[in-house]
Amino acid sequence: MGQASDGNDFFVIKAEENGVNVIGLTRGSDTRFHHSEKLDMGEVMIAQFTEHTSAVKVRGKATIQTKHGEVKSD
Amino acid sequence: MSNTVFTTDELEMPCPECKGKGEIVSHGKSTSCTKCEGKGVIMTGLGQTLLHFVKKHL
Ligand SMILES: [Zn+2]
Repeated sequence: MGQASDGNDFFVIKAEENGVNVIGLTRGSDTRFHHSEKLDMGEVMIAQFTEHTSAVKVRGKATIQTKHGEVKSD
Repeated sequence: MSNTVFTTDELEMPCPECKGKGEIVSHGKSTSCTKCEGKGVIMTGLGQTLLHFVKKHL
């Protein structure tokens, strides 16, 4: 597991339906999808950006909380 | 974790970029998908755990 880029900066993803996909994108010049996680309704994932992951893509209906606020995906 | 049964979609998911095909077709030309490195799928944490375990003990 890599070090978080910013101390305890984490975010929360709560699935609002079954089959929500959380996809991690690699840090660096080529952004590959290196990791996926399937969440079913009500499941919560708490994640951090690390040396390996610089972006996250959420597919499906979910509530995402970051230090910048809350956003909902469809 | 007793009697746990994994389904394939708990181990990997189709790549949303190439829709699981592993290649992108544009202007009639097909190129290998860079997002999944042509695999067509992206592994989950569970998939990676299982793969590492099998590799370690094979
Ligand atoms: Zn792909």
